[in-house]
Amino acid sequence: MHEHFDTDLCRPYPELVEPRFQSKPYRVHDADATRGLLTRGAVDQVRRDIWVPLADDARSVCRHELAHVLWSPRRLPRVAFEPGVLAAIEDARINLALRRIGTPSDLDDEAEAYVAMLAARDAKAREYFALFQRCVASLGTSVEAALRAQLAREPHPIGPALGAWMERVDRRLEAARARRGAVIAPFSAALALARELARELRAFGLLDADGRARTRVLSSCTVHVEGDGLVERGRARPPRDEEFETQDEGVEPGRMTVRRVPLEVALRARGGLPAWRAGSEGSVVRFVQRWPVDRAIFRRRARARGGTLLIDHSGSMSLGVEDLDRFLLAAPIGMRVAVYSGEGAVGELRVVADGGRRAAVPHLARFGKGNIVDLPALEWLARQRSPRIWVTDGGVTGVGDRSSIALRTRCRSLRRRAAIRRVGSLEEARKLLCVAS
Amino acid sequence: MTETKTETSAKKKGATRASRIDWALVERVLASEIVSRVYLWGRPGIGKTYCAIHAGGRGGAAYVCTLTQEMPSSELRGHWIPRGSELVWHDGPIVRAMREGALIVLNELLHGSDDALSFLHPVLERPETACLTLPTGETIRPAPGFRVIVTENRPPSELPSALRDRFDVTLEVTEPHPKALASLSPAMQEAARRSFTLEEDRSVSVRAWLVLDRLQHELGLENACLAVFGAQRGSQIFDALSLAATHGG
Ligand SMILES: Nc1ncnc2c1ncn2[C@@H]1O[C@H](COP(=O)(O)OP(=O)(O)OP(=O)(O)O)[C@@H](O)[C@H]1O
Ligand SMILES: [Mg+2]
Repeated sequence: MHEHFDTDLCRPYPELVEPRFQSKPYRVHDADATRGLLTRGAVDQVRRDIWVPLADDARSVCRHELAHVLWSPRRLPRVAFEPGVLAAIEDARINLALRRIGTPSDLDDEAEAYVAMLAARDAKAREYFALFQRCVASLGTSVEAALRAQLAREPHPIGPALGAWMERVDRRLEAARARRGAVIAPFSAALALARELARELRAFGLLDADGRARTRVLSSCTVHVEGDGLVERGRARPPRDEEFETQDEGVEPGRMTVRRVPLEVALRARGGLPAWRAGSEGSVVRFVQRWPVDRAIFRRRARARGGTLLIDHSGSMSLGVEDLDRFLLAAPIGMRVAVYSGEGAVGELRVVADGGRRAAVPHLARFGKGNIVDLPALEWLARQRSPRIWVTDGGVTGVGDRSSIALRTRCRSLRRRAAIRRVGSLEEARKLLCVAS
Repeated sequence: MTETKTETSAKKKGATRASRIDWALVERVLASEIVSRVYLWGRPGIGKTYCAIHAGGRGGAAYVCTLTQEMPSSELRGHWIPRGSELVWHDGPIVRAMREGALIVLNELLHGSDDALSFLHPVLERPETACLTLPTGETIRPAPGFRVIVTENRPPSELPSALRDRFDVTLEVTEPHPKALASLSPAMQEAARRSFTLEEDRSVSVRAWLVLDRLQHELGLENACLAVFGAQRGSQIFDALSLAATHGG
């Protein structure tokens, strides 16, 4: 069965989980569409960002990140050793607890094979610290067994040592949990363990004399690191997802003016759609002659053919004045029709037909070549009567006729909220209106 | 007004922010004899209609209409109905409320047709000037006690200005009615309080929590979530609720 899938419906709810509620909502980012993110999921409890794949197969990633929100400290404490050690153990602590409450982080076969492949690659490149992180972070998940088996094949002494560390993290966290009689070991246990392991890793040569990783290749599916651990080395701050980057400093929508032009021409009822019809109930008697026939003597408003049509009139649509004119001739009575276009940083929206009247041809000329004001125009449309139809070739731009993911996203979510139907041409709009009538 | 821009402590911020209208104030306003034209707006499912009917009716009759694009003014005003060989006039809910001095609650005003909205102009006039001549030739004036409460999701700024001007008060409610929350189980109460302020894509109304709360006893929490919210969103909400439930455990 092919199920309808909408990425907006699989956004997680960290706000419902956090121990102390903060009224500011999390920003949910699509991890699969975020550059620079080395893991499939991440959460920043301080800035209130969460990255998860907005995909159908990401439920356990979401659950893992939510569990961080529930159980991890808002920020991992500064440590005098490689923070990746603590992060890996923290992931293990979370995954073991998730398994304990009956919702283990189970990866599908494909993802498991991928993690195993990454581990093999680490081993081959002698990236033993990365391998350590991957293995420890896998505790409690469905890849744990595969990684243990893989370690058994690694040369002496590294293979057995890594295996023993995994074993120790597992045992110690479980013991700390049991002492507390809770579903999860206390964070302090993870911290103490990290400190201890960091010393041993240094002695083993996996960390340098300062306790730092020689090379940092953080990339396991379940590793969560706060702060700059999220991104490739060299970038100082965690990735602001493109959406927000451009929203903050990127393309702004242009300024839009709504212009009223005189609607001088009356539209004639077309296609058998009179504005009034007879009815047997009503308040205004109009068709007395029908009394003996069917008693439908009252004037009643025919089913209002209201609704609003917004037409992108930018150059890319190549709509001539004649096209618009022809379209308006056949426009249904009662429909409000507006055109918009822009130039530089400004744009104009013009209502060219409304309530059975329309503008004369001289008012149908294009304002500018660009779009510029798609967003404010859609905001206008959202406030109008439904059904709402938007005729456009799909390009969405702001100031300077430039586009951005942020702008597109905003338009898309506005469209969904206001139930705005998009069609590609006037021809399509006409067909849609005919079907509807 | 002695605060300066440099004073930015949290306390100062709190004091300079506009105050919020809470439900207690809304109920007091609705109970007031002075107020008879109310525009009550806020997010869906937080208890506007419920409050309008219960607090605004003052125990008397209440008529409730939900406006739609298709609804002509005659449905609000009244119309002739043929009976035998005669025509009988039949009052619409607004005219009845005016005659009886009752409450009329109008939901979703902004969805109303132009025809219906123009009909409301004289109705929303101050009681001294409000009068309506019916197609029967009769002119009616609102009986004492007649009041109109409009409930909407959209701000009054979206109303045509002539209509907006006719309301005595416009009240924005920003949180679910405490009694609506109180009828939820404690876990759902918390979830409802936290979720209704989320951005539109994720926000969940109290209405949905009310159904979920009752349905979970029959279907179990997971199935109830799936039924109420659909598979994808339902899974997310179920995961969040069940994780939150382990807290402290
Ligand atoms: N004061 C209350 N006491 C008990 N239950 C309430 C109360 N207020 C609201 N509810 C419950 O919440 C539900 C939603 O309330 P209501 O229909 O009034 O919301 P609304 O704000 O009018 O929503 P909409 O904008 O979608 O019309 C009601 O069906 C009722 O079950
Ligand atoms: Mg309501």
